[in-house]
Amino acid sequence: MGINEWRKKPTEEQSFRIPFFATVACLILLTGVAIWDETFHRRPWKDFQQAFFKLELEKASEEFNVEKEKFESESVQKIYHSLQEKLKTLRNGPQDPQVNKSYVEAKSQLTGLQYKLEDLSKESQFTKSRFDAAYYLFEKAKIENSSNLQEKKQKVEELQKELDKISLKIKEVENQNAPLWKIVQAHDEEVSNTEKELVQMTTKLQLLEKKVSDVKGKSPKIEQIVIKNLNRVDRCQTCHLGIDRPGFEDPKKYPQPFRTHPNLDVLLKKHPPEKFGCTSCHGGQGAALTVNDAHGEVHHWESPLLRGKKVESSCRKCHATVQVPEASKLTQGKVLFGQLGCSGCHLALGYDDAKKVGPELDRIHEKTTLDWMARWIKDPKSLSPTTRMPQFKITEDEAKSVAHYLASLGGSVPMTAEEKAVLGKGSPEEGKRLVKDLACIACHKIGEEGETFAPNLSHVGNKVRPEWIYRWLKNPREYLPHGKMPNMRLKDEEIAHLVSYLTTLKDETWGLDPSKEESVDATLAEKGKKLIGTLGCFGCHNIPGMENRPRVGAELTAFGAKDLSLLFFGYAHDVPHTLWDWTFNKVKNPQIYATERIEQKMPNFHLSDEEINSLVTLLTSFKGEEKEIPLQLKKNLSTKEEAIEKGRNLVRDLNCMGCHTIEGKGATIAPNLEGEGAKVQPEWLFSFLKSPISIRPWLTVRMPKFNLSDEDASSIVSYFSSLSDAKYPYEFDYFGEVQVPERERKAGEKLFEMFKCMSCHPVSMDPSTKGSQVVNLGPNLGLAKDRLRHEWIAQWILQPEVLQPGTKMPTNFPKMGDKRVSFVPNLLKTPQFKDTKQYFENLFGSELDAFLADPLWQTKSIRDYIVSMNSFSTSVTSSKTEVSSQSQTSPQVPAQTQVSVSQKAQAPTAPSTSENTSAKKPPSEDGF
Amino acid sequence: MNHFLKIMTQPDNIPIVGMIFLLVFFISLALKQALYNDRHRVKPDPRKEVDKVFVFPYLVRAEFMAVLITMLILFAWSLGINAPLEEAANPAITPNPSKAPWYFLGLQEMLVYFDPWIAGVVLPTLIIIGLMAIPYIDRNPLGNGYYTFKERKNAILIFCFGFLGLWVAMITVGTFLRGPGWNLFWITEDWDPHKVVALTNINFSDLFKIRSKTMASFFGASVLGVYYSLGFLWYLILRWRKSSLLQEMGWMRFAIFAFLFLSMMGLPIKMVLRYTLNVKYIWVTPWFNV
Repeated sequence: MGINEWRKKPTEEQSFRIPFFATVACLILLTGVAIWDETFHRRPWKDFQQAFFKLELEKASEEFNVEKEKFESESVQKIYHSLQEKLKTLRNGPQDPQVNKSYVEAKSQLTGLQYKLEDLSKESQFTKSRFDAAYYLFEKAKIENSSNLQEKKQKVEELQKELDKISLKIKEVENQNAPLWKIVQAHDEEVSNTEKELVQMTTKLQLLEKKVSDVKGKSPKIEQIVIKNLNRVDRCQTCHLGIDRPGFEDPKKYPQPFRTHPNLDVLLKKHPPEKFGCTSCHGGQGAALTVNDAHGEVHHWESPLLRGKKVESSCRKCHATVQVPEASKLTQGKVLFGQLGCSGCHLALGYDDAKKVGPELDRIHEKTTLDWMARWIKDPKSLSPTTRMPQFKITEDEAKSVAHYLASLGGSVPMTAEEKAVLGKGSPEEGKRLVKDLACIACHKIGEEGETFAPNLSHVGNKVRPEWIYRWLKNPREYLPHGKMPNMRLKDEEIAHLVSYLTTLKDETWGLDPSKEESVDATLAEKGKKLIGTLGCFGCHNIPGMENRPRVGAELTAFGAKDLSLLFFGYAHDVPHTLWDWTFNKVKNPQIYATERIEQKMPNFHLSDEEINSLVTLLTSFKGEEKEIPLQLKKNLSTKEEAIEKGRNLVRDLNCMGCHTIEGKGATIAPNLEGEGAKVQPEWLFSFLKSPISIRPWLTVRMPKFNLSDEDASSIVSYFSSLSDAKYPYEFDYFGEVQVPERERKAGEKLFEMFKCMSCHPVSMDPSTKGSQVVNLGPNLGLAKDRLRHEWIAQWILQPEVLQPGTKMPTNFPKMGDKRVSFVPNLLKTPQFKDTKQYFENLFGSELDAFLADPLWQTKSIRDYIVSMNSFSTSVTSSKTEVSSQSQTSPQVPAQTQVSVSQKAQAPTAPSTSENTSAKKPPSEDGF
Repeated sequence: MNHFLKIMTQPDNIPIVGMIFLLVFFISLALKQALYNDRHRVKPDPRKEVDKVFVFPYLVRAEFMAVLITMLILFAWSLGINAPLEEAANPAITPNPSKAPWYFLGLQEMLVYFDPWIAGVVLPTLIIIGLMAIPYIDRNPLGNGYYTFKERKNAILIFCFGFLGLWVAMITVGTFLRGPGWNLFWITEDWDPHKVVALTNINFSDLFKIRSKTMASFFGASVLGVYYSLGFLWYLILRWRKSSLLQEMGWMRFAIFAFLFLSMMGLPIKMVLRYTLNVKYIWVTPWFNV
């Protein structure tokens, strides 16, 4: 029947049967669809879980099969069967018929007694409960002052007696038990041991079997972590089931999402998911349960999954001020951000008080010429390819105007005749040698050689006026009060040599001559001043009169949280519309988004893609959400860690690793500083850093005087102490009541001779004495008392090659097995040392053998001698001169350091009773 | 055009697209019936006369079918299309464009032409009062219980102009043609958030070079006064022509009707003034602007 026919019918005759049936059928069908949709289609994670369970089952079964195979191997089976056999025979009782008979008899008697004991204990239990009930009634009567108190008391006493009786009986039975037990004990123990062994052999197998059946019984369910203080609900582990379980690392066997978290021990053990969640580091939508939604790679989700190295940008949330070794990109980014001086133009949280990275420009015209400046400003890399100075997009004329303004800031100070005379005496050859000896290339690049930490000197002759170099080397602080260049402690003649050498380092074809006289054009300078204002040169350089100008760049504190719609792409069509790509391209080519109307003034730093990526990692981490992280989840540094962090930054800023090796990194131009903190006294190191002296006069390279504030110097000192886990502040072994024990000192003196220490080490700081003679092998021991940690000296003599591999110091106490041995006892046996032996006998008496057998005791004696030798001038064999205050290395050493042992020694003192030393050293009988 | 299709098919906009189809259907149905009735009014249609049935079960079962089908559609709709969600609310970044719920887009569209106190308060109140007043103003007894156009020509035309021409059309424009920055985008254009439109507006008084603020204010007030006194003129004309309508209504009803009608017409007039002469305000005072 057609629809038209149907409509033509009178209303009463129209049937609704078919449409009604069809609609209801559709509704039922849709209900079915809804159920299917709800159970399967909207829960794709169930499939992932099933797949993982399958993998898990395979793994568990594999483990089980391996174990089973092991168990079923012939050798194991043999043992297992023999044990079974053994148990079978053991169960029949002892083999010896005689013993067997008594065993069986005892066993049956024991069983009888056991029953008896059980009956008695049951009886005891009943009586005890009645006793307790009676006691309760008695207590109640007593509280209520009842009249039948006496009656109740009687009842309690009766029951007490009954109880005593029963316990007596129990004891009796137990006494009967004891001898019988002895008869059966040995055999029963053997039986139970055998049983245990059998069980042990199958325990692992049974556990694995249980694991397999557990995995089989698993059903899919949502795994969820709720972290209240981070306001997160993360369900990532619903699919990433193997993430916190070792054993799922193999990428071929276990595809994502089932794999174990990389670097599990560090990353996940320190940041347990149940405390930190997943999305707090990785981004994504924690509560979502479908792949794209959960990864947050959908429209409107503002923090999508940070793939690959990008995840490092999350580390900064909690580790803002520290270096994270696992986050190499972020760390590199942080270093770059500081080195390039980004915070000069862009305000960023935590960098607002950073120092300006460029040199002060107030006296630049004393240093170089207008020509050079103009060319440098236009294109710095053409003059020094390794410079960090970025390239601005300006014309030649503009660069020239800036140069004229800078030149207008200050004139040059003429040199005195005296200085000129000295300067005239320089020889380039000497200078060249000096540059090598002083290890200038530890920081500067000259030609192909050297580091890029400090300015490239390859063409310094084109740039810098000789007078300036002279003054600069004499005192770098004069020009740059906050600069990093240390004072190299040079003599005037040495400086003259250096100047004459450095001025030869030039390329004549450049047409840049620093000795050129020029005049400043005032109108150009005015133009330059305006340009400096728009370019923001004062962000990196101190320019007089522009100190208080605001930063010219955009603030970066919440850069990483910037909405995409706020980014301007200009005409750059091929840049993908993501924050990462926008930032990457902006740094790579700062003018990329410029249009006719929108100027982009940022200069080009000419960074490599890798460097840009690490900078972008840092920039995208500036989310301004640091304050939202609860304090207990952040990395809070201990005092020690803080000292290390601070020191590490300082040491990097000063380029100490240009010469020294620290924490496994650096050069070998100067002494290795591994373990320096355990070696030297903090007070000494402090004064040494502030005002260095020569410890190893035979080395041509010398420790320069850095521009360190007291605070920075003590930071470095505590950094070294913390690195070596050494006591800080340091306390002398011999301080206050404790003195150098006379006996050990005397013994040490003899040993000092026997080991011929003086053939390498000078022992006096007084140049007039024989002991001060430089033998160019070991440091002057006159310094030791104030310089070295006393406990370190003994360790050093004992095992120098362990503390500093490759040292020239001979191993006097070779290692035999895992113990150090001394050859002193053998030496004393020779006739040559007969007198010495007598001397030791007189000193130690009965303790001599112990002394000779203990290398540490011996090295401690030598130490005791060394630290006291300049105070006991009479006992120093080679030097009869009274030790002067020369041993005190510097006037800055705090008074505490200078407490001389001799002063103490003169005071009348009690024998060494301090627990501190008596525990560490053999007690001295006759303290002085 | 692709972009326009995308907006048309957004889950958010499904109700509005549906509304357009429903409106077309019901209006054409009503018109068809009305025209049919108008044609057969003189000679009653015998077929229609006899075609009367009981409400129960014949109407109720048809309604029940409609309920079932509506349920079916809602069921399939909710299963097939997830509730559209946007980004988490962020007080620092408001979405662009920020749109009201679709049924208020007409009001939002009015904000382009009037200050919020008019577009958001006075005009909606007048709309409600006007709708409530219709039965009291309209004394025409014809058209009760059947569709007709001829017998209620004016009423239907005025209502259709207000409802379709203003209310529905503005919702449609607000939904489909208003993009980022509330700029007007034609259907062929992409919604570019950086689109720049030349929009410089002046006050009506500036067209006549009236510099003094006081004078401008008086001028604006008198322009409005003249506009509303058009109602009085209309009354006089009707009286002169001895209109039966006026006799039926009386001057009070006519005054209310004329006021509401002129207020409604104020909106299209302001729109025309805006797009032709860049007029921002007609009447500027230190306290309010119209």
